[in-house]
Amino acid sequence: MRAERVEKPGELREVLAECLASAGPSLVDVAIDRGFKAML
Amino acid sequence: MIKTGGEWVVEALQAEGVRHVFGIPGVHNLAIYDALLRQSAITHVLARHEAGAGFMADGYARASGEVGVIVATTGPGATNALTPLVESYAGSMPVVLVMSDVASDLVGRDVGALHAVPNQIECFRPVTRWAEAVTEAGAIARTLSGGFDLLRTGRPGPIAVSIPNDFLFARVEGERPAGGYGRRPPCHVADIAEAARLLRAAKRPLVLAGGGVIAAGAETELRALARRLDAPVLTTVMGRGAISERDALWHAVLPNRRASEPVLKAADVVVAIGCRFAHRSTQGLLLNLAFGPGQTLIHLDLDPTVIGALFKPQLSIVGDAKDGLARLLAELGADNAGGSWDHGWRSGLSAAASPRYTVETARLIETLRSALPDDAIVVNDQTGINYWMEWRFPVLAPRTFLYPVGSATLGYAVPAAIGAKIARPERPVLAVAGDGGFMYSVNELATAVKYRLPVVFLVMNDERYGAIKWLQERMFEGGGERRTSRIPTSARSPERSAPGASV
Repeated sequence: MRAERVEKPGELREVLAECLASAGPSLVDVAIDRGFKAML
Repeated sequence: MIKTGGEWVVEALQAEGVRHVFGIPGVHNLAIYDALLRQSAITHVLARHEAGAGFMADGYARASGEVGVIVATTGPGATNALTPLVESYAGSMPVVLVMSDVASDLVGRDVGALHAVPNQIECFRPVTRWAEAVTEAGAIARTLSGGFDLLRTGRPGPIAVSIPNDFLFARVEGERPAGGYGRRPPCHVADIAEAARLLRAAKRPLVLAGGGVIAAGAETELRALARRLDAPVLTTVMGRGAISERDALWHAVLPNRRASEPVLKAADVVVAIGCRFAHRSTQGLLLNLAFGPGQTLIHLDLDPTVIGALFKPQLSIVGDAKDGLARLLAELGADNAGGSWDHGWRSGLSAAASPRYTVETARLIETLRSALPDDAIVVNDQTGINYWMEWRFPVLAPRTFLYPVGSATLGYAVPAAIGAKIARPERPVLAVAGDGGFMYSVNELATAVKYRLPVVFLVMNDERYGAIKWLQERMFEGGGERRTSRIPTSARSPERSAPGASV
């Protein structure tokens, strides 16, 4: 299956558009800042 | 006519209009699979684990309103489906689990039979609306039909039916059930008249819509009531999409305390429809909901047991939400109720956010929303970003935001997205999981590949159980196990359109 890794925020929109247009399943592995603030 | 027990299972499912079932064959349920193979009305979706099949059935039901059906084999196969049923129970999702059991003369006897869980059906009672063990082969079809009747009549939720494997292989006489029985009860006209009287006198009426509005297909009536009363609408998480979150009268998602609490306090009459004021969303963790002595609560729900469980209403109305809303609109008539909300003040509250809601998180959610059409289905796992999605991702249509809020389980998004895509193949489906939750159900990617399902699985990857990490640091000075390892997806190729290969 198609797989992509996104490491910069600006890349996500284009990758998503490509994957949504894909004929099969896609995996997008998005690198998240380890300082990401969860709600809890 | 004479058929095998397995054929009677399929006859009963066909009679109820079932189009898909999710499951895994095993030695005890093969008679069901034999019957499935020799017909075309029902398509079987082969999962890689019964938990995956269960979450697929939940996602299927949540995205479509149709009953999600699971077929599992005896013992471990059946109990693997328990965790998804926990979520379906909490979320009031119509799901039917059909499972085989040990042979009828071995049920309840702890003698070491293959796959045996002594009294298997007992495992399912706490997480089902109804759990029934079939005790004669001739009762298979009518037992299943009875389960579907319950789903049409009362509050939806899982139904579990356990069938000894000798009954499934036996050939028995019977008649095809007609199917389609059961309807939801209407609301009492006197209760509706009283609700209308209270709402006519209200200065600041507030509508609170739960998942029961969506289950009843009462979105049009909900919008009409809000317009008629000029009342803001709060939704529960399960009720998201009952009204578009671009509608001027939509206010907020209930657990969003900063936005919802001032409006809840300002309202003089609150009409709650199809919601159960779930403890998780109303009692302390996110919002500490309380109604003052000057406030009137009207609570309409299909399930009388949820009314008054946490908040005692001044007026309780038992019945179908669509029926109740339609009757209420008729009773209110066309006259304006004369509400006095300051909508400018109210709309200013919606933007209030915790300092933990960063610009980067807001931008990420905006990127996801703008990438998708209004009717795309977003299937969330339980992960750090999705706590924010729960309030902040704009939901624009019913059955488009799937989130395991009731059980807060990990491992939901991948299989539930598969179920949603099978239910609604015409719609884009996006699954959003953390790397922790993704790996709970990563095996079901193989199901998506097998059926060539164009689902996008988005993994928000911080290589750890990130939300837990923060709690560990806050509560226990950083101690604890939380790091995971890198998911071995391929690195992006220079020509990014080249497909990855190492999933």
